[in-house]
Amino acid sequence: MMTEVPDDIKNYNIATTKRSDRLIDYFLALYFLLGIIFAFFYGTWLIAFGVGGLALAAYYGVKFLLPSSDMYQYVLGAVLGVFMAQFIYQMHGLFEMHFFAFIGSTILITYQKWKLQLPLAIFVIVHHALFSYLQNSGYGIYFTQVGYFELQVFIIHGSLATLIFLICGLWSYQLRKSNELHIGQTLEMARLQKEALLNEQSKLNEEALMVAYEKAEDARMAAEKANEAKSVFLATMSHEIRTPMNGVMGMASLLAQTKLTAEQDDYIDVIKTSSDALLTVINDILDFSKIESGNMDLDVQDFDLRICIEEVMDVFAGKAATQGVDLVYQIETMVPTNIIGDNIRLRQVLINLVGNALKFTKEGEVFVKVKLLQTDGKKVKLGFDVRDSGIGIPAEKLNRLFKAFSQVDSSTTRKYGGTGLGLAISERLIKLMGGTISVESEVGRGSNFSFTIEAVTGTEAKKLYAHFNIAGNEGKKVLIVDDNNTNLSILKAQLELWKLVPTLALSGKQALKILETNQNFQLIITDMQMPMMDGIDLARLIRQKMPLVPLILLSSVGDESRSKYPQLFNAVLTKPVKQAQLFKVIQEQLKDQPKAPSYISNAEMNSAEELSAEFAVKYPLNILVAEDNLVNQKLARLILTKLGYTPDMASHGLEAVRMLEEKEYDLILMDMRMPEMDGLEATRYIRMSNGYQPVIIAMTANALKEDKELCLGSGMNDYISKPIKIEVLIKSLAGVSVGLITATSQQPA
Amino acid sequence: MRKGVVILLITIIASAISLLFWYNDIQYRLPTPVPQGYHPVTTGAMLNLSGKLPFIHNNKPMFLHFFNPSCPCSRFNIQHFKSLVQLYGKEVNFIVVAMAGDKDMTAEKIQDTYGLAIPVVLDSTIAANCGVYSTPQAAIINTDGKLYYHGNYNKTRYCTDKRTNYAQIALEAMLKNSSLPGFDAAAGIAYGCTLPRCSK
Repeated sequence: MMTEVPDDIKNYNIATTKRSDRLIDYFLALYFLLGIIFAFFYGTWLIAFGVGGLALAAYYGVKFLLPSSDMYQYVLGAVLGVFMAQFIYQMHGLFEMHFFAFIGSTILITYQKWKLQLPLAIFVIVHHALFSYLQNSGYGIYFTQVGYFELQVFIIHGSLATLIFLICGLWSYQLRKSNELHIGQTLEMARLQKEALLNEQSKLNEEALMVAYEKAEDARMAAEKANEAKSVFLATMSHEIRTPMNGVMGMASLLAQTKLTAEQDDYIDVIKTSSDALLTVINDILDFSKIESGNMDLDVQDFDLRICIEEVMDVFAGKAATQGVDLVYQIETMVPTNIIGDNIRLRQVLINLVGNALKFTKEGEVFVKVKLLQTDGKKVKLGFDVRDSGIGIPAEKLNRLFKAFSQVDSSTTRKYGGTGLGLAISERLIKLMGGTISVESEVGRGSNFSFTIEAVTGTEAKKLYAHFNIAGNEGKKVLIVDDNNTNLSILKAQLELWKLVPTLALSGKQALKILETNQNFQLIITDMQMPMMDGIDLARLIRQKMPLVPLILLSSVGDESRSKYPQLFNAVLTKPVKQAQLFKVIQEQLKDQPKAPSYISNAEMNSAEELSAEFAVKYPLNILVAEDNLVNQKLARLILTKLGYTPDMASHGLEAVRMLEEKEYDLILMDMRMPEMDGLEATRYIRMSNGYQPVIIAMTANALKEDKELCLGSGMNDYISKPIKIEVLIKSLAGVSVGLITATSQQPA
Repeated sequence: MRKGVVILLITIIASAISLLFWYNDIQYRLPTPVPQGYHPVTTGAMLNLSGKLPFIHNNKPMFLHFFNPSCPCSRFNIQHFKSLVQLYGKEVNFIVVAMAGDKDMTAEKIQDTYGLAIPVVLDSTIAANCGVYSTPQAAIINTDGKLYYHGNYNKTRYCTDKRTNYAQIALEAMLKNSSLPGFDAAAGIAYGCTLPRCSK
């Protein structure tokens, strides 16, 4: 197997050969000259020039013809032997001339190739043997002074000559090996030096890296501290802003309950609107800051996606009705009912997108669609579309949409309000939920915001209204009248899933035309707001011909007309229609046909209780309010008094604890931050004591998730964020009262 | 292709060198051509060398050494000749008969050059008187003035073969008053340089 020779050793060998060649030039010239000198002794001129010249011709001829081969070096070995023979001949067998064999042998060492000794050795031995034989055989060598050759002498001569050639060959070999070793060691030394240098460099780099790392670590810790400080600042700011806001909004709500002139009513509206706007701004800034500082964590839990969507629809139902815009939603059947994700944050995104869509849509519709994009075992990727028929966004401004504090243009802010943070927050929340958001828009035709989220299919089994069969009502015909195509197609798809047979009409006129030819409908569903002929007029005309057919009106929030015509409709549903409600109502109307209209309204579920003293009679409670802020104290007292309660007031936690020792309160509305003893400490104290255990609800401006966890962790039962919404408070009070009554009734007599 | 040329070149050169050596060797191995008008002189013939040789009053035989300084062959056996002088110098009168060499050649110069303390005669006609036509050759003349032996010193040029030391054997035989032993043909065939100038 050929061994790869390193370049450095190759170069060394080339240099050795070149140097040796130059040396040999001198030696050969000297040899030739010696031949001429020897010719003087016995007049051997022909031999001197002839043999010497031919020997030189052999060497230089081969070297010229095969310059890249080392063959000329082997020829040189033979040439040196020829010169030796020449000199012996010229000096008539002079014994000393044999030394030229050994001189030649030592000269050849210069090439550091032991093999070069071979041609010379062979020549010398053959020469010696041949002439000895010739001399002994009686032929008689003319030019020799020795009479005969003895075999013993020949053997001794041959052995000694061989030994010399062997030693010279060995020396050549050793010299080459030694030099190669030396080169190898030099290279290794250079490599080690380089390596050492690199190691040193690497060590220096490592040290520099370590220093950089330490600096980075310091910077990180400083950033973490700054972040922590920012979080504390945010919490404090949130609290400090919400506390006075609570006063402003609460008082405005109470003021609105009093008798006011029309002008004062306007002022109150402005205060309420401004307060709401301010609160939205604060919430947005708080959210954005939390996301940017990395403090936003998702609160993942199992929830009903449809309820989440419907809650969003509820939020905007009133506004959509006021604007005359159809708010429609559709959840595709493949979408899992329950998913595990952050319900609150998904709702926040949807509220933002739907809110924006409504803000920029004067007519037409806002359509929310949920679809299943991808499934991987339990993992699902859901797609949400929020499509509107609003003013649209110019293409060149689409890329600015998701940047913080950036709206389409400054005039948008002036005209439509908003911080410009909503979409930025949404985009970041979607990113947190493992999705992306994009937008397509055309000026004048509307926009479509699409986003995706990743979630896990929920485990809680909920009712699947989408796949319910209306037992015994399969195949029944339903006429649907709506001017909105989207709404019509959604209702059609839903009814078909329930095995009903829907017929669609885009207007009252078309519906009547259908009814003229076919009165075989078991149910008619009609929209309220339609051009030319609204739901009321259509119902009147239908009732004239079909007094017993069940009629369901799809109305809008705040539309009072429904209550004026109870005889026309069997049921009124508020748009956007919730699937469960629609299912119940349709099932109810188809079950006992025919029947006279009997008014059912889902509005009952949504109507806020008015502030009346009867509330306390219905939901009796002994209430203690622990609140250090005088304005808030006053506000709480006013609301609770208006609800018929006589709350006691404590200015701090310690006072609340003392008052609880004197009187058994059913409920303590506890502020978190108070002097002397804060709400958390007071709660812990109460929970640890063996005394009466009231329901404690936190009432605080600290809106962060961590605060809620702190409250519940300290032993509080619930949490109400400031500014307090009267509806939320009422709901909580009712819940506590009902809970207490239930608990009392279950106690053994 | 080039390798073929190289092999051819080496073969030609090696052959040429061998030829040169052979040619040189064979040249000296061939007998010296007999000159035209040569008159052979047989042993036992009375020689008339009056006036050509120095007169020595000791009644000893004479040993003539025909020598040419410019002839390589004459130099080959000079050592052998000197050894004979040393051995038999007391019993025999040794005389060097120098053939035509350089113009400025003198008897003293030859004596100095070769360390010979014997007479040197620069007369090339003596060779013809003795029947000698090449160098180196020996001629032994007994006390009667008769040619006892003329021919080669030895079969080899350096007189390395003691069995063929013809001149020495003849000298000893003469000193013992014995008849000339029968030598082989090599004793009488001249191999050296031609006279008067060496052409080898």
